[in-house]
Amino acid sequence: MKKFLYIALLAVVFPTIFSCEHDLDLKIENTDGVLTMNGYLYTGQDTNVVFLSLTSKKEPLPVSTAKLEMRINGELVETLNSAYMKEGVYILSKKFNAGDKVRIDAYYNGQHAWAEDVAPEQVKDISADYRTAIHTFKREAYSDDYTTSGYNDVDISFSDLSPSNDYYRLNVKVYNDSKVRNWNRIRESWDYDEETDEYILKYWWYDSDHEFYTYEEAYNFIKNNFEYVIAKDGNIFYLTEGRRDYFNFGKAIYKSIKYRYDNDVILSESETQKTDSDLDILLASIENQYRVFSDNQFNNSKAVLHISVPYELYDIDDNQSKVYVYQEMENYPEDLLKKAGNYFTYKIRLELQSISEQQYFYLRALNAVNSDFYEENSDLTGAMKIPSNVSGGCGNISITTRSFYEITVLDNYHPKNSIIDIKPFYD
Amino acid sequence: MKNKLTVILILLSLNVFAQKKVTISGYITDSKSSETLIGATVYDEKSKHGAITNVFGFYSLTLPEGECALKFSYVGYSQQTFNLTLKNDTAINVKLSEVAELEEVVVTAEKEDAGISSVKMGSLDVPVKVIEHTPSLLGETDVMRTIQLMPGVQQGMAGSSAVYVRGGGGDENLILLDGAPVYKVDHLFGFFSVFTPEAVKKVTFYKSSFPARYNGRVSSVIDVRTKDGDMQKFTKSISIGLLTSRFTLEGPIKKDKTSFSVSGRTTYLSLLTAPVFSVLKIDGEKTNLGYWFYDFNAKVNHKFSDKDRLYVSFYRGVDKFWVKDTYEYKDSDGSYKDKDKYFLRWGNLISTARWNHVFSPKLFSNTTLSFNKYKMAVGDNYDYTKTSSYYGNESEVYESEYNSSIMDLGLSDDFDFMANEKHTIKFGFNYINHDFDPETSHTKIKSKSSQNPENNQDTVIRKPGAKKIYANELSLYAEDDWKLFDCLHLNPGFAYTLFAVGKKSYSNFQPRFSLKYSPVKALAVKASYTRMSQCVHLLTSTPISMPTDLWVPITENIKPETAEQYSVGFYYTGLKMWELSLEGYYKKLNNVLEYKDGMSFMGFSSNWQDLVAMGRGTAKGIEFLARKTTGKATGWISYTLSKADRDFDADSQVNNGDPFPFTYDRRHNIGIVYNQKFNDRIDLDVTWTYYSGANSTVSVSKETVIFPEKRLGYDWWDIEHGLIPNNTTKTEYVTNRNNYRLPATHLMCIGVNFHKQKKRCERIFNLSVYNAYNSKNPDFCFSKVKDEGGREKYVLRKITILPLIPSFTITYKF
Repeated sequence: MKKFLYIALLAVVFPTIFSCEHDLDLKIENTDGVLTMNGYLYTGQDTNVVFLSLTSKKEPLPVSTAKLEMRINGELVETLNSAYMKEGVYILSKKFNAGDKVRIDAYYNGQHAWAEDVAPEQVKDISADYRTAIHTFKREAYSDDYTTSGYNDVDISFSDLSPSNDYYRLNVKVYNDSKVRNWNRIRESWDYDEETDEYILKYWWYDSDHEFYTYEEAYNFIKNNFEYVIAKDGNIFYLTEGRRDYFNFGKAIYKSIKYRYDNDVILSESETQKTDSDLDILLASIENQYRVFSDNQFNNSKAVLHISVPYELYDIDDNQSKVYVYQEMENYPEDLLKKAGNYFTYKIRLELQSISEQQYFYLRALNAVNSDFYEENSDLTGAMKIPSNVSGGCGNISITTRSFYEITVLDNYHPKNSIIDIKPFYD
Repeated sequence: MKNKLTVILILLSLNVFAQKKVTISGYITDSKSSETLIGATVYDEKSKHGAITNVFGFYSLTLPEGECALKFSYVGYSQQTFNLTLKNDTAINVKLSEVAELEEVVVTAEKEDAGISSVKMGSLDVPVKVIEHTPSLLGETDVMRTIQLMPGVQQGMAGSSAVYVRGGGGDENLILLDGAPVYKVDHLFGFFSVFTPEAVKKVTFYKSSFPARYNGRVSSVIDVRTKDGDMQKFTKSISIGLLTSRFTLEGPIKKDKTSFSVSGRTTYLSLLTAPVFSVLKIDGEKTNLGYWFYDFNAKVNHKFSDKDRLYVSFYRGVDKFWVKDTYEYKDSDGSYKDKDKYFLRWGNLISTARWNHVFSPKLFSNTTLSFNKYKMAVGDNYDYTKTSSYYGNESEVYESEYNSSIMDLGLSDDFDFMANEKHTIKFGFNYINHDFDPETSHTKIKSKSSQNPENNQDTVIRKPGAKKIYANELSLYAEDDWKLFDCLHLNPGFAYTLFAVGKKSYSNFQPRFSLKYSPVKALAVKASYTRMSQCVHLLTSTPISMPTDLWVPITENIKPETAEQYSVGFYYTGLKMWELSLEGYYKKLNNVLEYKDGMSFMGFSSNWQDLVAMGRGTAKGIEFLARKTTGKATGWISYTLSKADRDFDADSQVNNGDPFPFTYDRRHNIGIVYNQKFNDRIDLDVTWTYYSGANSTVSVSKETVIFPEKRLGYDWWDIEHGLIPNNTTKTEYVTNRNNYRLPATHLMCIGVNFHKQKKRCERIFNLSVYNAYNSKNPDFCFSKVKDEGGREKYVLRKITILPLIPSFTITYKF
């Protein structure tokens, strides 16, 4: 917005081209060396992480030799005297439950910082429904590039925890296990024999160390050593690698994914426009990057969230695997694929987090800090004070209680006779 | 007890045996234009009683039967005296003639609400002549800039017309145009107000001891009344300036019965900048950027009889800013063209109909029906077409628009009841129906492709926005201007407001009391207590006045803001041609709103109430004003010593519960206005202002912040595999809000007017210089890391955007 203002001033008030800048000494108290505690602690989790650092002019300095104490409901349960593994990283190993009051104290170089939070209750009645859909979105602001993609539109419902103010965060993870049996067939090739000046037919498969001079020879070798199938035309197809295992084209892990919430009133709270909208140039547009929300619009009643999760059967960071899957499928006869089986599992894991009020405001502030709007306007408004619940220092220590709901969108792991339906793929 | 009874009996007997009273009433008007004069005085030299005209120029004075010597006067007008023998209630309409030079007027009666001799305090009349003679940015005389020169008023960002009164916020000023509240009072991001000086008749500014009829804001009232229109002859004027041109036209539709007044102002900078942009190309795209605004005022005034008058007024003001990009190419295969246009448009529409009725010489009423709408729209229209002999034709239209509006429908009735020479009672009600429509937006996508018709689209997407909010506001009020003794005047009053929004309603009783004690004629001591409440707030993310700033009503969780103000003042008129005043105040704000830490950038939406906290504010100060209102040299000197703080609870998430100074807590504030009339041809206007630095939040360190798992795919699995801790980053560390006092600002503006009487008109050539000695003021300040020979150091970067700026305006008055 500041740039916009400058443009306006420049255009309207010609003399502002003579505006000038001066740097003055900033006479203000030094605020370096303040002990900073940060951590998201999870209810019921075996271990939790706390980061300790000191404020500094250039880069915050990690603190690895602090004494850290953890108290649950007033009782000292754990004391750490140094960081674990990495600088500034302290691993706490005492589990706590919803409703427990957890206090963390840090002592370092004469400083004592502490923070306290109560573990929120868990949401019990989360449920969800989904359907596939195609949506068109602009790829980014000020761009004329639109994308049409497949999504799973998910409606999530749950009951607000209490009549008082409650705060939540919806994190969505995708479990993506994409496996294809990698079948190949005996290939033919001609080798040139320099001595006889003749071409010799050879049979082989991908592994060039095994060459056969008759088809039968190759056939028998495969029959004795690999899983194989015989196609209608009599050709033998064999498993080229991994034997009875499968090729893995995606990482079989749960991974957080950036979902869209364009049509959700609750998640888009305080967000005037999406950051990919061109109107962003004129409106305060701050994306709810961390997907936090309050019960402001559904206090003590049922909430329904509407989100769109990108339908991607491949790892979001690994576009290559998708391409490979395509190639494989296109190369194989349909009946053979049916017989061989292709295994895809795609799950959406909804992680509804009940969070404390302080975490809610902390994450909202981080939404702003990471926004272009802040970057462009902070010179006008002054620096932002990040919310802190740490006494004697700064930072944020807050507790999250998670509840999960898993949607299995696609699971072709067992039906070997079916082929993968490629319709869900969209470019 | 016995003595008290005796006093009461004596007072009662005075009434029983009192002489027969008669009431004279009527309008005091300008002899040339028949424009009613607000705040004119009528005074009987025999009985020593007087009255003042109200905002419609009406007066009522009750006197003993018999002979009287009535003197009618008004600042800038010659006095008229009538010796009469009164037997019955009499209507006397008086016309006063303007004098060329401001002569001294001996103030002999109470002024109604404002001025040194009024029982009210903290209020000032701002005559149009003063506004016209206050040099300003680019020669644009401005109501708000003149008010900024008054004691107790702080300016916002440099060059802006925003006012912050006695430690109050920018949204705590009730700004009225002919009785209707104005929500957006400025053009061009706050640099100019919407009030065209030529259309303005009278401005009254209140900062404490508010008359009971004013409600809805806690810090000040700026009551702007527009001209009714000349009943006698047609007059017009045209002004041409660097930024804008203006015109006014007024005259009779039927002499002495009906008149009209129209005025307009527009800027034409887009025309001036168009040649630059016509040749400008950015990244191969032809870019055009433009801005314009206009104001249009119209008013019709009809006099049915001496008892009934009707005023219908209309105001429309619009700003528009746009950026257009065009890109096209052609080759042997085909052509490509895209056009993109962003726009931002905002404006007010205000209309009022007022009916004045004189029920009796003692009872006057004004009924007002008002309509007020503020609307803002932001849009993007994108259109591209591609023709290709190989790929076929493609076209696409993308339209996106975001709207926000507020609409008020109001009805009020104000009664002035001049019960007797000791009591003037004002009472009435005011009802406003608010319709807030904070956010609506839609996007339309229409695409066609001859090659891929399956991709054709014609879609309208309506985004869910904040819900419409309806609110109803009712105020009842009464006050009595009670002349207890000649030296002691009281003004007790109250206002009772009821604000209903959603399922919640708030009621607020606001007692108001002021007292004036005059031991001698030239000296007055005043004291007052005022309670005000406010049920709407302006949400803003930047210190600049943006059209996207949004008014929202209080909610079920956000209570009305209230302010209690205690004031005491000394006023002296013993020095010839001078008025001196010294006022002290202490103001307590309750339920004052501040964004919670880290929340000030959230823009606006339905859940704004979650982002703010309610706290307390205090403001205290001493204000001195020496004002010379007559003679060849006029002007004033004002000085303010003030302090304003905010204080929030520890669990409010505002500054850890620690008190902090208000952003515009400027300790010292000096304003000097000097107007010198050398002769009929030349006059000089000079202003000089000094403000101590405002407060800003700066950082000189960095702290670690931590992102949740999404940021890095962080999970326990990641920890075990040593993938942490990239989910931390750094940001500015701030200890306290407003932790740094910025450098002071001082500024001189000079304007010279050259008058020349032509055959048919008067020509006025105004030459102005803003920031005459080119003071390098801190218009923007922020902290930055600077590399000094390999050593990084935090510095305060000061940016001056408004240096010395000369300008001129030519005005023709016909």
